[in-house]
Amino acid sequence: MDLSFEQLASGVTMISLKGRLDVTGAMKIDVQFAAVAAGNRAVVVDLGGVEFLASMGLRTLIMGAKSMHTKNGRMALWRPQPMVEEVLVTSGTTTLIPLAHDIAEAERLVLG
Amino acid sequence: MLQSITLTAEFDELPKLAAWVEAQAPQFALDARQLYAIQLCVEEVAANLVMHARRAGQGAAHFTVALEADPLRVTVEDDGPAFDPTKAPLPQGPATLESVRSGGLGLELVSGFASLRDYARVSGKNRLTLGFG
Repeated sequence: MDLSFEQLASGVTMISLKGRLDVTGAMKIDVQFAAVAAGNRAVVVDLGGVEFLASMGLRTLIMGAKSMHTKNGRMALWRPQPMVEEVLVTSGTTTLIPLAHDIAEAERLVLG
Repeated sequence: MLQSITLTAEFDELPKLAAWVEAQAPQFALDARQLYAIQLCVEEVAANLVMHARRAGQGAAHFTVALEADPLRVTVEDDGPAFDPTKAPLPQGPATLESVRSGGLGLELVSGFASLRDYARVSGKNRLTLGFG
């Protein structure tokens, strides 16, 4: 499980996740994800490289979004693979963190 | 056809479980959706077992996961205290980020991705059967 991040021209911070966001994957990136989310106001999480997502990974995403929310920041999820999207929808996560397939839409969601 | 694996209730064992399910995919002719659903459900159930074993301070608790065909199903057996996950209250999905609490999403995913869930206490063991029809 790998995490990288960059600032886009729009001012949005893009966090890119790659690999399996299962129990061990979530444990590996949890602290860094929380730190990057908490330190930025507008975050798009690129899930395109995530092959597998389970509840510990959902927890990482939700806790990051929650800490941003308390500081009036916003997070959006971008381009999950189909099964990963099904996990996000089934768990109710997409009611908490908006989801976009299009990058312009994702940026609009977090810039408000 | 029946294949099974026995693991120690430790978080470190979970990647082995995922790899084992993946290795069974060809002989059980699992499609991508079935493979994902089974990996997801066994990870959630196993992660719960690990957390329960830790809380109970049990040393070296074990669990066995079996995969069977026709109909496609997974059976998870453990010798921990009786616990019926099919009766555990599912958290009502949090409506807002303010009200969200950590945890509890795992069993909700199992009920969403397994087509059948059946629990029995058999000879001092918990036996959970999940169907993937």
